[in-house]
Amino acid sequence: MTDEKNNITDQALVEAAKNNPEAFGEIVNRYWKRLFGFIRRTSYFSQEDIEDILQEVFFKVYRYLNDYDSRLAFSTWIYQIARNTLIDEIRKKKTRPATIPLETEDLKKILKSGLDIEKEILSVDFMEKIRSSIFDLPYNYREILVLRFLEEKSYEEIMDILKKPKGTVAALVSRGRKILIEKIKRREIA
Amino acid sequence: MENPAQKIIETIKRAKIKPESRFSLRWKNYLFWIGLGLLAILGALSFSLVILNFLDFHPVFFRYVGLRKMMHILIITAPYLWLALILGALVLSLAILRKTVYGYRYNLFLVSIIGILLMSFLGTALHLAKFNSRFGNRISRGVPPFSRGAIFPMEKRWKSPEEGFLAGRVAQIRADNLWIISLDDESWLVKNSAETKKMFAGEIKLDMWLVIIGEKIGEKEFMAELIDAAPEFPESHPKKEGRRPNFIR
Repeated sequence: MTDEKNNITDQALVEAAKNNPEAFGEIVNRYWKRLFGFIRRTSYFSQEDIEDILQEVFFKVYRYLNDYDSRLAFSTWIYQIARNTLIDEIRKKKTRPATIPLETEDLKKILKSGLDIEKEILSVDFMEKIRSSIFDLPYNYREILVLRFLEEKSYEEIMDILKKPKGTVAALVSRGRKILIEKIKRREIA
Repeated sequence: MENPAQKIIETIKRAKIKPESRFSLRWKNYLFWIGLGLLAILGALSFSLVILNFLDFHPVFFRYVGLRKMMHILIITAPYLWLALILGALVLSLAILRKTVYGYRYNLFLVSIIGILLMSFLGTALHLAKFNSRFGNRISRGVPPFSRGAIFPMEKRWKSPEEGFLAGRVAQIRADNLWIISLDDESWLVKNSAETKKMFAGEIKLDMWLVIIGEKIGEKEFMAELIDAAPEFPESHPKKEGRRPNFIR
């Protein structure tokens, strides 16, 4: 990505892409990795599946360009589409691979201050138990924890991505963390 | 995947995918807003008919009936149909609003308050423009008798002599009493005294429709404390039921 390209705003790219698909390539470049990470952390799809989902996401983004409203950040809007496409895929496939591709750093971010992580973090067994606790979380909690702590989205952004009221978002974040920590404690790993 | 952007652009070009028009993407949202507008009008109209249902209630009645009886009669003859329609319009509006593009951002409590205020203002405007009485008169012509009570419960109010409310057509006039034929086609002897207050100018005449506040003092006997002229149907009304009072003012 050149400096010149970096200086173009998302909104300008959207306007350019409406008439020229080549300009859309820059949008794909900017968001491919971020959305890949988001889907990887919230679902159990293989890399190939995620790439297929992402292609579908970007086709939708291109078709819906005229629906983009500048009152929202473009990143929020594209996350909305990615999230909806992902949910559709989960419903279609209804399959869940046995492993969760969350890194140790990811887990630390979610659990920070809830448990004395540093003491335990090196234990492979401990990490496996946390992973399986996250695996047990209902999808809506897992998704919201990923958005808040790993994607580092604000409550307003999460509200727009999930299309849920701000109070509901705050409650889900808080309840999600609480459930996760309780699950871990119940397994006597804390 | 190697260079996903290139692959996506090639597919877009090959499949000739084009950005869809804003209207085709937003038509459902526009429909929701039209629906919200229609519900606001329905709520406002219902509110104006609630106002209409209380217009026969002169504030001076409170002095003669007393608060307890007044509240009782207001509760049993409240326009529940129109109140339910207001509530229904409000609940449906909130459900539709939630479906709009930014519906999740609105605070439901605040939106409910704004919705009620909006319906009240619009309803009052419809009342001031006399739209409610024109509408009421129009629908009253086609309303079957059994559903009339639900649509215009103020008539029921004047069929409650036990509560102190009676209405009827003057059949006979004597020095200190008069006979009336009530809305239920019953003959009532209405006594009056020096304390009985008449709310209208001019004399009581035969065939005139009256509303009377007072007390039931015996079988088909009523002591009048306050007498007012009942509004009648406008001259243009077909009067299918004969001369009847029209409480739709």
